[in-house]
Amino acid sequence: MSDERTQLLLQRYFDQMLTVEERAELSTMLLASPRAREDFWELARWNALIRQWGEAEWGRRDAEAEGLLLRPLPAAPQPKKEKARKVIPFPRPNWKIGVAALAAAAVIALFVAVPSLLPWNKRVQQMSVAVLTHSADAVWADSGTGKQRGESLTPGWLHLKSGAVQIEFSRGARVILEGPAEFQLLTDNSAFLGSGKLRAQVPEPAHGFSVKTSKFAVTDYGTEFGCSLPIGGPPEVHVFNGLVGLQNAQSAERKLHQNQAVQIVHDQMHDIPARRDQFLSDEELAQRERTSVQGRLAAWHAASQALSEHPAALVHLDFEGDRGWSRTVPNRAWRAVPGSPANMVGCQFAEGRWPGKSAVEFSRAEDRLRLNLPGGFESMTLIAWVRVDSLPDRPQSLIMGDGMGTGDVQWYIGRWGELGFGVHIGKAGDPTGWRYHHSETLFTPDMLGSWVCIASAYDSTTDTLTNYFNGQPVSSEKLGVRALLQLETFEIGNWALRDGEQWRAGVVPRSAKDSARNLQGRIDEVAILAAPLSAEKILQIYESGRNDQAVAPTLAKNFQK
Amino acid sequence: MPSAPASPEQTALVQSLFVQHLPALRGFVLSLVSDFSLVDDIVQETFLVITAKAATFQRGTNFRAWAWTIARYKVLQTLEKHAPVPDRLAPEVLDALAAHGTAETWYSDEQLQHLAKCMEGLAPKAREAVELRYQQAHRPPEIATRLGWTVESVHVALSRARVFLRDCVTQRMLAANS
Repeated sequence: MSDERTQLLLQRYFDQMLTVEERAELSTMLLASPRAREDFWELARWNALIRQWGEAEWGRRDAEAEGLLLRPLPAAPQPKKEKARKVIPFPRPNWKIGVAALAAAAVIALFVAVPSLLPWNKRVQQMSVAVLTHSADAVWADSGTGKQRGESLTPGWLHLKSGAVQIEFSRGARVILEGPAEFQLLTDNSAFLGSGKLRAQVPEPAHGFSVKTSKFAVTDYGTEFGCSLPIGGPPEVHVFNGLVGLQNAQSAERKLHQNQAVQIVHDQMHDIPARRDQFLSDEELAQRERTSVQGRLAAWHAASQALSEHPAALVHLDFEGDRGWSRTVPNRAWRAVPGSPANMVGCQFAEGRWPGKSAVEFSRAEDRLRLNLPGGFESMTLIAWVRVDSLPDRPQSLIMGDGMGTGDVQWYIGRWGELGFGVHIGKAGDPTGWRYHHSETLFTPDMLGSWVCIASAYDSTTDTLTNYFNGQPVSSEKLGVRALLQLETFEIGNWALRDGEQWRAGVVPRSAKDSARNLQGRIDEVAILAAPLSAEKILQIYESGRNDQAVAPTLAKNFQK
Repeated sequence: MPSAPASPEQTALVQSLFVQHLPALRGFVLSLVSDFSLVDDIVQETFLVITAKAATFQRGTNFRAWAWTIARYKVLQTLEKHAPVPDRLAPEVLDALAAHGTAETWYSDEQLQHLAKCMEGLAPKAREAVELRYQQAHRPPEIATRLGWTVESVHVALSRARVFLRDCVTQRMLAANS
């Protein structure tokens, strides 16, 4: 046996490239030769070092993408003690009962203290401290950091240009913020108001909720107050119910009771009448939101009908209409197979992009929609409005054909949050015949709970697949397809794959848990067309269906066609 | 047979030793399974067993030997269950490797810093292959699909990159220490 041969086999071992024969040969070497074992550990050490670098680099990029570093405005106070906290998402929650509680607590305690030692730090994510619960015509100063209704909020700045939003802090305080406003979430029970106007309702468990500004700090001991910090005007604090403590640089804390208000001029507090009408109430916000939503729904209905009537529309599910007890969803596409709706298995109806818009929710392993689409198609566009609620450490199905015939199509969100499209270009039944294309990572933890529009369009005239995210092309590749694309019997939100059938997935999975399985989230519109929709058309579909200011991926800006 | 529960102090001791040895333990496990996607599960399960058996660990004895035995057992169990046959080394081979002993220190922060610098010396495509393998944990067939290469080319590129990185880090360490 030669050293070179040992090295070659070891290199193949660490790349998981050994054949059965090579494995036997390497095993013989390792059993017989201390030198071979030495070489094994030497290469193992370098392999582990590079992997350690890879994990650290991945974590660093993730942290960057998730904006872990706050962008403080001038004069903003930094949160005391509550430094950027990190939580560790455990990929395996089903630990043995009895040990789990103790172990999880201990692991969190140990690894928060020593984060660089995290073994599973691929997706370090900052803890959310609030949720954006309502939004009326909100326009954000930077569309890249815009927030949607239902979105979790982590510590950081909100730059609200106009409109109004309601923010529910994790400890229970509710704040209505009116634009224009600069507002920084500090913790689950405190915030910094840079400028603008807010009204806060503070229930019992959230007592102690505080709003700091550059001029004063308000601590709530009661139930409801408002404060404003207009640009160029004197700040004011109004108490509508209960009691608040008010403090500025020049004075000790002053207690303000119900119906008391002060204006602060040159650091001096002057009493003024309390004015509820100066601050937006829950009812007024709800009314503004309803009006805003009605306008959006009307625009979407018109666009949705046009999509159903598109000459190439094969499947269009909008989940609208009176459902009653029905467990089917009508296919509204112009070319739909008559009497062939989507069948709901497990999944339930839920709220979609707006109040009053229906969606289907996929949460359990069995949840799926099953459909049939006979025929083969030269080109194809898949488009869906999706709300991803979780990023498990495995792919998630969007549209997955049951079969493994030539031309079969798979569409999914990859293990790393990328948009994946697979087409079988080999001989029917060959598990290695899949040709995949993945975008870069599009779904990141800060997008959980947000509605996004994703699309993949395959154009047979150029043999090119293009992925889109929120109306923007994000990746493109020639696929080498020489057959008609087909779905036949397929599933939305899941994949008809039983345990032990991972081999069917071809090269994608690395282990049993790695196969594309159930989506964890919602879909409120999905369409399949037998034509490659143009970039302009996909942008138009996105624009007419967008929910407030949807998340804008930075990747789209970097994509070069 | 379940172990008697350990005192909170004993559990804390065992867990802090675990954290102390974690980089080496991960390196050990990674070497024996070669599949990155299995490593975290094995390390976690090792942690659980160590926590559950904390009472049986005697202060002052060799924690590493104890923990490595548990980890090796978990490796065997996991390979049996999940790894494709060619990726799986036989138990007797794993035993021989484990008995051979491994370095006390798997890697240092200094090495990692040099490695980050050395990465910049890789050709762009080779670096892409290294990132897909070592950052995103893709196997060579999938890297080949993504890069439009053959699987063998991916393997050759990764092998060369490892040799280059080893030489580069070694040289930088020598230069820094001289």
